[in-house]
Amino acid sequence: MKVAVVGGGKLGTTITEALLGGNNEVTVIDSNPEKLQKLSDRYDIRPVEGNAIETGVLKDINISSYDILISATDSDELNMVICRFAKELGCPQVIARVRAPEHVAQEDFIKRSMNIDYVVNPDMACAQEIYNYLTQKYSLTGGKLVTGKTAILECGAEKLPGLAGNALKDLGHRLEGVLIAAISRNGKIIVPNGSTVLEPADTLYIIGTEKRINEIGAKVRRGREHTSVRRVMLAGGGKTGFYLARMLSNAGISVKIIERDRERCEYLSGQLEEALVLNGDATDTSLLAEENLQGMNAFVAVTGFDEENLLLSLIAKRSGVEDVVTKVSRNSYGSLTESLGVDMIINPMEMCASNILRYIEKEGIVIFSKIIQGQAEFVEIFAERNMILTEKPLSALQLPPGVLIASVHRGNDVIIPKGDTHISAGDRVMILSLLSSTALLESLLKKRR
Amino acid sequence: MVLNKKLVIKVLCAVMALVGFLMLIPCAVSLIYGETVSARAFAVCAVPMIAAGYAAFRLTKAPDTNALGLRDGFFIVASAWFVLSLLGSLPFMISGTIPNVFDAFFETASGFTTTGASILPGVEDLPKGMLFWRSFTHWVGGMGILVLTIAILPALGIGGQKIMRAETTGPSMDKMTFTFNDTARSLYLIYSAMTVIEVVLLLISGMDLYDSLVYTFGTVGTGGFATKNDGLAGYAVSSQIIIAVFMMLAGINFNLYYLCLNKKAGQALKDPELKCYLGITGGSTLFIMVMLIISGQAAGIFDSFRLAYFQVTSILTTTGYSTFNFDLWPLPAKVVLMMLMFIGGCASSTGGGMKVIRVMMAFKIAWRGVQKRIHPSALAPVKIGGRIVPQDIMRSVSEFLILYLATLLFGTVLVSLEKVSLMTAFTSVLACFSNIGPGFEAVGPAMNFGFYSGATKLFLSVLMIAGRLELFTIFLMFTPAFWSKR
Amino acid sequence: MQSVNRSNQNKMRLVSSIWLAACILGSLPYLITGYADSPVSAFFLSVSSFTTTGASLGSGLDGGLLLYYTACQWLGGLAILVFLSSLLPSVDSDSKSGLDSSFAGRSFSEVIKSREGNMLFLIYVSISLIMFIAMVCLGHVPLEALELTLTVCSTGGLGGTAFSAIDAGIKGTGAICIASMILSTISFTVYARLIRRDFAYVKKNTELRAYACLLVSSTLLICAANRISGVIPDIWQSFRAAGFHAVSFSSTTGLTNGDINSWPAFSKAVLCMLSFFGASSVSTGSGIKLIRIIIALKAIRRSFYRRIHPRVVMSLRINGKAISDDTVDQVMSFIIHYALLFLAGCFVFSFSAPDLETAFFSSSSLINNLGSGFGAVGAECGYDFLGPFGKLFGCFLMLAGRLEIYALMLPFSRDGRK
Repeated sequence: MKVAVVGGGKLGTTITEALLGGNNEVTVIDSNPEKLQKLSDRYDIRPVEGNAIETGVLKDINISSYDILISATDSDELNMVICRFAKELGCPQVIARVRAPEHVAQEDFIKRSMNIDYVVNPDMACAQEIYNYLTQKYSLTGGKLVTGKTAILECGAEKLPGLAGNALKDLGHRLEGVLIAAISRNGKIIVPNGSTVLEPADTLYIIGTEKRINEIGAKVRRGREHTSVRRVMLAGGGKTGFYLARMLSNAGISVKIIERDRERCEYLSGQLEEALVLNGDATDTSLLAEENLQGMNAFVAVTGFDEENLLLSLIAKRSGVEDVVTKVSRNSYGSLTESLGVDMIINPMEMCASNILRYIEKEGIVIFSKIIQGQAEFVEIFAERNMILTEKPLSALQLPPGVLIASVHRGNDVIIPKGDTHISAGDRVMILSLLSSTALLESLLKKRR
Repeated sequence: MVLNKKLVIKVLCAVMALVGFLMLIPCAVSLIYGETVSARAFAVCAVPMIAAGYAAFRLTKAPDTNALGLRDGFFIVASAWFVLSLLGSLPFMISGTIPNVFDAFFETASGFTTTGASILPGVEDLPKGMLFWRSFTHWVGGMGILVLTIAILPALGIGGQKIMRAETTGPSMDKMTFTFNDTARSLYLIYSAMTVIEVVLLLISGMDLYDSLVYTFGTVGTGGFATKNDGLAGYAVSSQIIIAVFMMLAGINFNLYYLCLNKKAGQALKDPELKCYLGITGGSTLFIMVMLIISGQAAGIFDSFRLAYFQVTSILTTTGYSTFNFDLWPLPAKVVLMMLMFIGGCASSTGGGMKVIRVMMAFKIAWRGVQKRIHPSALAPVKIGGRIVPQDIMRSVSEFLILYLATLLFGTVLVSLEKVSLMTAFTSVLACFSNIGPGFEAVGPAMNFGFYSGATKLFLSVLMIAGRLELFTIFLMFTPAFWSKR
Repeated sequence: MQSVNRSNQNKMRLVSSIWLAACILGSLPYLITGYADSPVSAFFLSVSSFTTTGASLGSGLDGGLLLYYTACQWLGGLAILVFLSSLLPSVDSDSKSGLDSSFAGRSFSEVIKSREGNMLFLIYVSISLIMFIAMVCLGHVPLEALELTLTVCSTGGLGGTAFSAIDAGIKGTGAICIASMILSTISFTVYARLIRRDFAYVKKNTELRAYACLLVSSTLLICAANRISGVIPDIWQSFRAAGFHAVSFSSTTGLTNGDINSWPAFSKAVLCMLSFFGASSVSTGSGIKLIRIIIALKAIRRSFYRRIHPRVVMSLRINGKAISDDTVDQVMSFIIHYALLFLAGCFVFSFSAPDLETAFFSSSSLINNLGSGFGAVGAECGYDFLGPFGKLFGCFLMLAGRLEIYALMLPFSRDGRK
């Protein structure tokens, strides 16, 4: 597909990277030549310097020949207008990034009046994920998900007797007919292989036939389903923090939010009736101590700086807070985060990028997709002829790291894939992919011409 | 609760031991006068307190002093003052001088908070040791027991800043010395010096040692407990004048004395609050002099001067001594006295009330409000002594003043539940809250608070402590937000 | 900005001048008929009528003079509603609590012709009309009904037993009076919104809710206190008396029924408190106004939070919306100013008052435009004990309380003298 991406910032870059993994031609429009240069150095894109709001620029690149335009500049209003213009000039699908709280309530109106097909709000999506995690502790509702004949079960390793402490390859008989598709350990989602050893604190995502999953599910000793989160401290009063604070307050949870900018504090305290707004630097340990950090049930670091978020999470974890959530926008910190021992790491850009991709491909091959813990997603696709995925047996395919073929639904059967499984056209394939590997996944789904 | 329990216990133990030590002094006095009952009562209280306090202090493990939070400071101060009043009332109860617990607590709280309101119908036939203790509590409470504790116990000195803030939350625009400990020590030195000088002067004027001590305690602490039923009426005029002058001195900002000692007297004299304070004193004295001469209650100019000056300084500094039953004075004079009750002494003095500086700011705030209405876009900063007062200090002064008035109102409504006149109720609350002592009508200078019910006495005692600790410390104890884990 | 300031100042000057002129001219009938013994007394009466205070100088105001007095009160109430809400929005300089925004800044003619101005006028007239008709239906003599209506709807009242309508003892009179007083003391913005069917606003209105709580609780407390102390042994009668006086004092009308001087100190204290802050903004009631007290209390609550959480940023909400710090500052300084004036009044009156209680109640009663009080100013005697200077100071207090101080202070400000 031919895709135009307006804005070479964090979101623009992440989307570009994901798109390039697939069979897509990407044009990036940005008025900043340096950003463009950096992007085109890293990726195989067509850079266009200019202000996309000028219809001249859009016409120059012949926007009507494109399939999609994604506007990801810093300004909501700019994004909306650029999309409108693009639509007018003949682009069939347009997607806009709209972040401001004022627009959240009127999203439908915006889509209708500006003729925008899809709106992404990274902050809201991020806040929603965190909220779900804090209040429900499960990504899947009720811990289980069913699609077609396949089912996925989410549960803690200690809930299933006899699993913890063993390597996967030794559990073959216990896990007959099912596959552990993903493990959430210390806030990171890991794609396991045969030698991965299960730990009691792990959360497992088990996939198999519905019948088999139900069997296993029945054995799970369900304890408290919902967390008893009562007091949450948020560092960072930006949009994500604001959305999250609002959601938590509405659910009756006591929220403290620390924000550096005085005016922003006034805005927050005006909008959030129940939350306690504190004006200060969240990295100031005396402030954290003053405000009883160790008495909090959960701590969420959502400032605008990844480094601060990581540092804060560390402090919080050391102070004994039960649940610590970190927002990280750059992938480069990937492996570092696992050693921090926080409970959840979330990358809003990756989430958005994958949301956009799923939306784009919706009519095509994607049957279903679900993001878990903001870091990975289950995607169920229709395998099509000529897809790279269908060319060879799995063991010969050289599956990229971070991507796991979890199950294959062929006809009436659900197959737990092994090395010799060969995917054919028409199969429904459930794939588990880390969000950071979205591009690599796309390369699998590419069609060989 | 977000409190550092170990620290709280340690401080309270220290306080207990300290009170025990202090009780040894009146014990000695009782022995001198041969009052065995009183002496025994003191000993019986002092010894266990010292022992238990010291033991518990040593036994409690050292707390992490860096963990002294804000709420710790407030809680320590509030509970210390209550414990103080409770423990201090034991000798009264044990010896039978004041058997009722509410009465004893009231009297003791009145002592430590330097209020000077009494439930005793007559004091002249009470044991001297007991009366001595009563007045001694004025001296101790005047400078703040906690300041004393912290100055003596360096181990707690680190967190002392927060505790001192909780005890004297007045508007502080300057800090006189570099460290907190230095400040405390200097203030105590000045305080002690003042005490000694006044005792000597009173001795010279003809008072015996016992009376000199008792009245000096009441003067420098701006308390108001006396040894005679008619207050100071029966003493020599020279004694009265000395006491009046020292009352006035006790109501001045002690930091100014520190400046004088450091040869910066010129700067001290330029202090705007001082000037206003002296102005109020002078103006009120003149006015009341005129009133008294007109009403014929004074015998000549000097007589009216001494009556007026004494009462003005007594009420303004919230001491509460009287040389005349001022409830009989002409109405305008009484109204002026009532205004003085509101005003109180200077900041950082031993006086109570709203403090002169706040009253000065009140006028400026009110005026500024008018200016802003007329010229909405004008920047009209409030200036005192040529320096601009920052917005948040102004705001906290407004909040303080309105909270003060609201408490007076609310307190009056509550106390009026007793079968008293409205004026009695109002001045009872005012007298206790501003730590003055006498009010008007049924709680006038010739009367006492004894007729109130136990509950009311307890309420008034709480008001006394709240007023002494400048409101917030005590009120915070009653706020749910203080106790929540949030 | 300068010109806006200027025009604001000019308006304030105009308002003060009109009021003074009206009071001076309006005092003539009292002088001419000989009821008043001096120009100062006549002026006092005139001011007391236009400011809807209702402070009397002894009894004996009846016949035509009584009608004239109450008519002046009614006009005063109207004037306050219309002019004040256009010039000095009672709470904040963003005129958010004035009738629906952009009142402030318009000229008089605009205000009078505007829809909002008309609405105020109509509501006021309707309330009065309804009460009058109700009274007549109950069987009162029309003249007496008219007098009572005029004084009640303007929340003026009059000290002493001047109203034969009350003494007539017709059942239901008390209830009608209570109803009218409540209607007149609720913020008229509520009516404006009701007409526009904005029920949500009415439910969320902070002042309304506070007023309801205040009224109910004080009535119950007074009733209990009276019953327990034995002043009014019958509980139903005690309840009615408590209710009537709670409404009367909170609306700063000042009508009394029975000898309230013998009530226990507690009841008197509660009533006195009510007169200070019972009335809502944009109504004919006076005093500090309920909304200011609410804001002050919220500010104090926030100061508690600040002591526990020093970095907290907390916004204060009225009617669900946050208010600015400037507004809060204004409110606090107003309250302080008010208190200072009250104390000044105590001082001035203490020269001629028979006792301290009377001095206090005179001052509070005049600045709150209540009229009645306790001590010597309750019941019959009125304010006659005040000397000429006292009466003039009393007029100053009444005007200050009615015009919310500022317009009156204008002559004292630097620019004002130009």
